[in-house]
Amino acid sequence: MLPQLITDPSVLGGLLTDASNLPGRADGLVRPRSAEDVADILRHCQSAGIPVLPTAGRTSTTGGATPDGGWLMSMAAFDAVGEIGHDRASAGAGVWLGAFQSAIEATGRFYPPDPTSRNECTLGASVACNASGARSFRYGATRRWVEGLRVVLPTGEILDVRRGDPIPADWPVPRWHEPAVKTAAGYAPPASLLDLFVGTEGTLGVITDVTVRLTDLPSDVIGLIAFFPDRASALAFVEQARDASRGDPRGALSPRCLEYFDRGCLGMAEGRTTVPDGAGAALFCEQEVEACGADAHLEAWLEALTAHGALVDDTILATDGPSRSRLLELRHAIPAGINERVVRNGMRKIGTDLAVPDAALPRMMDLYEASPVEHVLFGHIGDSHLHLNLLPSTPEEAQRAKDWYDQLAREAIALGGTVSAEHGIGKLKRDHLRWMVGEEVLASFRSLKRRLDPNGILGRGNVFEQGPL
Amino acid sequence: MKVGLCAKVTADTDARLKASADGSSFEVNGKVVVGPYDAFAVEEAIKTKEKFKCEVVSFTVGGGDDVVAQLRGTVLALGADKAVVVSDPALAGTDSLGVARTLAAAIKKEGCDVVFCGKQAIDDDNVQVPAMVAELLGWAQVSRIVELEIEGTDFKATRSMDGGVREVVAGSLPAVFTAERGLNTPRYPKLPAVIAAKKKPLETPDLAALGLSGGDVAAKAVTTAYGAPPERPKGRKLEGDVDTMVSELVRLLREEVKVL
Ligand SMILES: Cc1cc2nc3c(=O)[nH]c(=O)nc-3n(C[C@H](O)[C@H](O)[C@H](O)COP(=O)(O)OP(=O)(O)OC[C@H]3O[C@@H](n4cnc5c(N)ncnc54)[C@H](O)[C@@H]3O)c2cc1C
Repeated sequence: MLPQLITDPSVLGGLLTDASNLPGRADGLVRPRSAEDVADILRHCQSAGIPVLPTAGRTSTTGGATPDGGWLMSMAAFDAVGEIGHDRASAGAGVWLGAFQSAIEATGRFYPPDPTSRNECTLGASVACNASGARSFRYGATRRWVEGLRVVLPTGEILDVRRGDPIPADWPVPRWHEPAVKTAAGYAPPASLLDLFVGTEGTLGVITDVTVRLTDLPSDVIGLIAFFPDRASALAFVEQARDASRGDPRGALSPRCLEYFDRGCLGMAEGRTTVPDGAGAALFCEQEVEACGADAHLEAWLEALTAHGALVDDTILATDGPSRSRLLELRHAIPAGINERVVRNGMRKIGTDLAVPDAALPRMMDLYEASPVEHVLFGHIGDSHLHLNLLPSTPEEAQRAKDWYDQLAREAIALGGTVSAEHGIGKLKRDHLRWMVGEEVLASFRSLKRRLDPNGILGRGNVFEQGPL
Repeated sequence: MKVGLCAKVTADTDARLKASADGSSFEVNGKVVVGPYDAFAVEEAIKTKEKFKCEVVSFTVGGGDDVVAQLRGTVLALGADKAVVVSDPALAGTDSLGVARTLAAAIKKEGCDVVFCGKQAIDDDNVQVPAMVAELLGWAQVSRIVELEIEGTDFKATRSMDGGVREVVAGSLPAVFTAERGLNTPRYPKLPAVIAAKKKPLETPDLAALGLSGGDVAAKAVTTAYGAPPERPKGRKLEGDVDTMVSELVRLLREEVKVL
């Protein structure tokens, strides 16, 4: 039996857009409570040709959660945290990621993926979008941690998939070379059946339950903000820290995250903390305390920072809970400052999500800094993945910013990078994806999609162009 | 001028506390930190040091390796010149007055002119020690200050009272001040200072070295048991379609919670 279809405009009205602010429209909302409900809905919609879009925390920045007609499918009822063991933990797709992680950490275990939105986004969507975060420098994106999924295919078949399960021989899986950078763009060439449902932005199936792998909760973490006179010195330090960390992941200098903030960002943080005179860039870093002990880490960091000309006397350190939360507050003050500016300008900001091979990062940063409208640059520099935020203040500037973004995307592709390292394609970056993979690979995505979703009902408009396939 | 500051190392705010099965003690599962109100006292002590170009000594009663590490990483790294950690087996099980006697003796021995404390520790919330220290030393005492000016040996302290009223208190040193949120914004420790703090002096006198005996700190009041608060009843989830849930909710609010 189909769950009740809610068509009350006042209910639907709150679900028509996501963090992209794209306008959406929907004819109804269904609230399945079980995988069987999801299967019933999908079978019905498949035969009636009704588009269906799973909707969760709606923090998608790409319009992924913005419906373009048809039914919305709320994942909110899948809210049970299941068993948390030593090596594995399970939960419903609608569980808030941050709550799931807290429940795991209360048992002394650790699930690392940490998108900034983790308290507002769901576990299921973080898998669907292969989310990552600052700690991904050390721990990789969500994909690496997923062990099992319950997925309902767009035709209504329920699959319990475990890591290693093979892909049915008659499924036309895409074969292509993903760029060798952190990427969340397009259908990744799948190593196993499980991979097909991670990072395909919910276009191949609805995830109802997730099992993830756990690791040791670090005994302690040192947080640090280091200021540098300019970008070059910060980058030189990053290169050393990155190499050291890859050479010896448990060594004295082995950051778990390396986050960059340019001069413009520091301006936004002013008033919330004192930014030292002469600071042209900053890095926020975290070091998990390894067997060598906290003192050895501090010595190694001081030595490396000094060697690269950091303003060491101004390097801020947080070794305990309260001071670490103040550092995080400072880190979050920057996006908050940007958003304030955007609201004041009344224009939509454009945020990039490009990543390039490490060697190409300086070239990419040159381009970011040459942006023709006001901008700030920050992000996951350890993964050569920075978010350029263009802050236009007039419609003309908005157009210039959009053209510039297109140009940057082409440049990132030419440098061997990706058009999306973590936010996915959604509805906003379909052109960029096409430029990146080319028509032939895109056609291979489509044929897999057509095999699993003959009428193209699920997640219509995401990753590919509009309309039935 | 010499500035003293009392710093208690307590469980971090996100640490989990668990009473032992027999209720005689509790375990801390997590890190220890210098309490948040003590952090305001530390900042005020450092500001006073900067103004008067004088020495700052911190005082702590009881402590193991984690306490010492914490004091080095925060209090000494932020600018205190020396830490005094009184360690004596007789201090186990002492009460607020025993702690105050110990601190007062240590402060007297150092010869401080002004002492800063947090308004309370965040573990036992006793709010007793600073007033007792002032009394034992025969000094002035102003609690929960949000502003302080010291000129020569005179001070003017502002206290924040209920309803937002501000009370201004004037007096002269020596004095004990306890810090309320808003007194200042604690600075962050800087990396080179944290490393340099490892080499700052940290003394661990016993009671005898302060001229006290075990009898001086014997508890007059003894903690007899620790227990967890009663478990909160589980939330209830209403089932069914919207209409059923809404009428059930209204019924519950009316009949059980009695708010409608
Ligand atoms: C302030 C902010 C910070 C962010 N930071 C990061 C970051 O650091 N790293 C990062 O990777 N992303 C980040 N994001 C993007 C976003 O939070 C993530 O992509 C997140 O995983 C989306 O979760 P959600 O629950 O909000 O999903 P929604 O936005 O509701 O949905 C996202 C997509 O997943 C689909 N979907 C949802 N649930 C399911 C399901 N159960 N099965 C199948 N498909 C489903 C939806 O149809 C939609 O296409 C950020 C967003 C914001 C607004």
